[in-house]
Amino acid sequence: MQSTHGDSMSRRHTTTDQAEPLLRITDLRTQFDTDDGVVRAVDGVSFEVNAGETVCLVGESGSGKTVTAESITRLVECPPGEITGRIEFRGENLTTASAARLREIRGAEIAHVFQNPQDALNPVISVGKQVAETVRIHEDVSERAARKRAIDLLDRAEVPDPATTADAYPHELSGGMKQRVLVAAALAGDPDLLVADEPTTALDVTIQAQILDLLADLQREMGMAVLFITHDLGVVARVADRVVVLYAGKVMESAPVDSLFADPGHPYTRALLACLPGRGRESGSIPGDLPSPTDPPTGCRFAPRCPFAVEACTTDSHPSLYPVAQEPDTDRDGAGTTAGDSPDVSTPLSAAPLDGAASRDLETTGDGVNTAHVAACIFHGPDRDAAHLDREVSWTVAEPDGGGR
Amino acid sequence: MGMEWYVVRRVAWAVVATYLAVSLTFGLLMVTPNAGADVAAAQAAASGQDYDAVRERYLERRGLDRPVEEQYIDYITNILTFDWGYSFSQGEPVLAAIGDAWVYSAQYFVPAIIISALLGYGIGLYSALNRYTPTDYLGSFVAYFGISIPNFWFAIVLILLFGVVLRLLPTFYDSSVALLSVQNVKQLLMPVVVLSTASVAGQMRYSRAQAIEYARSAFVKTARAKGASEWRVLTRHILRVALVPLSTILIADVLAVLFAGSFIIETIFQIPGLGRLALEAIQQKDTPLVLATTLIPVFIAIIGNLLQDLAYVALDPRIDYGDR
Repeated sequence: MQSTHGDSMSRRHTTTDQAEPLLRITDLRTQFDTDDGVVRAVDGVSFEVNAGETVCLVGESGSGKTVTAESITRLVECPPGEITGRIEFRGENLTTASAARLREIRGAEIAHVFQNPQDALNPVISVGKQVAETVRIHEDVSERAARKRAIDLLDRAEVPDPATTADAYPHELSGGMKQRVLVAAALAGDPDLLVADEPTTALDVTIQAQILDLLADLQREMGMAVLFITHDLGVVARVADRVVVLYAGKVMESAPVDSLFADPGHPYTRALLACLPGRGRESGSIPGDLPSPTDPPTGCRFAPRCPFAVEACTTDSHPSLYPVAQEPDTDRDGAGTTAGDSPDVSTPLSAAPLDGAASRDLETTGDGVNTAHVAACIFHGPDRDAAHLDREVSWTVAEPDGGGR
Repeated sequence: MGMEWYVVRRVAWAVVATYLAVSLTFGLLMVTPNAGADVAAAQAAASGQDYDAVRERYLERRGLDRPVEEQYIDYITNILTFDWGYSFSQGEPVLAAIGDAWVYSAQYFVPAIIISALLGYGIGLYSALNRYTPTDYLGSFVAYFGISIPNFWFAIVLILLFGVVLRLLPTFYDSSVALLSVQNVKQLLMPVVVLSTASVAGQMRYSRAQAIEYARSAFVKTARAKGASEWRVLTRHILRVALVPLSTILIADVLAVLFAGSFIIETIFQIPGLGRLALEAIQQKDTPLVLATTLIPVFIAIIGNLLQDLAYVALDPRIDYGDR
């Protein structure tokens, strides 16, 4: 185990040098066989996470965020689940990796923090042992050495009096403290990618801020990438480098965080932003419900709820992801697909899903890496006018939250 | 409200429960017509003596004509001093008869409980982790078979098949066989199988349900996300937590089998154990022996529950000592 770990460390450096993403997910499909039919929880999702950066997966409940996150190291139950597509972690395809290989990766290279700290700890094992468990699984160390490491990790996770708390049982700790313990357990294997699935949703607002700060500090110290799953755009504004917006198992939009808040390219993203509370308005909700998971609509999945939908939105010829212009002004003038200073991008990406090659093209046509802002909306197609978006209904679009980070 | 105080109170409660059970039994004895006196009086009346005079003499000789409170104090004292009376049906003191009998009961009872717990938990956990597979369905079938089938019928079928047709095993228990011998193992095989079939099924269904509940729990997902192997997840996480309710069920199940199962099995296989002793005592209206064979399972039940309460201390740190 030790040697594997050392190996991985060196690989991390080479991949960073070549600007290869740490994690590249291509056309991920996770479906579940249920009595009501096949549920396509994740239906062709592609995105990347680079070393050290924070990517937010955003969407409503049921949009496939959690299933996407848990598909990475195959934590979803298979069967009834079935995962296809490519999940490349440092070039290694995890969808075809053996169960034993995945166990080596889990905890040591890709760690998870889950939503509800109340249930995520074993109620009858002391928290110190549960942190030490990660260490003991991946390294051949004595119980005493593992305990020492666990206390050290609890200390780094800012658990007060870690040596005493290590002997406490979960029911003796508060929710925020439990989440700190879970963060300590996740970081025990010195992972390169932390998948944080709504780690603050179940906590009080003040505790939420503390946990977000803790994660940010630890991310900086340990240089790990974070895939942060949330439905809270306030949290997104605070933590994200890039954002991937999911809806009904598909990527609706993918953008650097500033670009997304300044110029949302998909009506769904606009709707999410319009629902943000605390900007002098009541928090809203998007009218309508998520489409049926067993029988999703053809075309754009958001079309049935979209006030801007036109007939083409409900057909199969609906595009997957198109670049959104960088300059909102040129956008409004009707050059919906012309990405301002980079005319190359105006070439439609055809209706193909955003595979690795296409996304790399996009990135290199911009100012550098990760500037690509793409949305799966017909209004960004070749013959469409993005001004349509403001034509009939105007979402109450939130103010760009540039200073929020 | 620490652990010591909890233990003290559990033990105290066990003592109180024992006292209540013993007193209740005394009450029942008082309101029951004395079978021995009736029999003696009827016999005397047949040979021309006065029915009532003989009956009174019989009661007087045994001190049963004294005031209730005096008898009650005597009764409690006798139980506490292990002076449990003389069994006329066995021709020896009650405690000696029980001392002879329990060895035979324990011989099939202890292996049956161990087998049913190991097999029941094993199949249950395996089924839980391999749900909706042929093995799971087979496990469920075996469980329902075990629950549905009457003990006595299953025992008779086994005797017919292995004892009469195949002639592999003895058809009844021979108490003259040495304790540690192949022959003894062979003659205990069928009683153990019959008793554990009934009990395995229950353990299996409960452990499967418990394991399914915990297999989906968030803390098991956390363990998997740490890279824990399936075996580690099963033993360190699922089973460890499931043991809390499962141990409760095991104790209850053991007692149920002890009360009901042993009567049938010992009768069919002719094992001279506690079940048969109790049955003979009842049939022959041997009051001191009936009393003893009633009280002993009650004591075992109370001790079992006490052990269970104490086991919680080790099994479940969430136990609230102040609340119980």
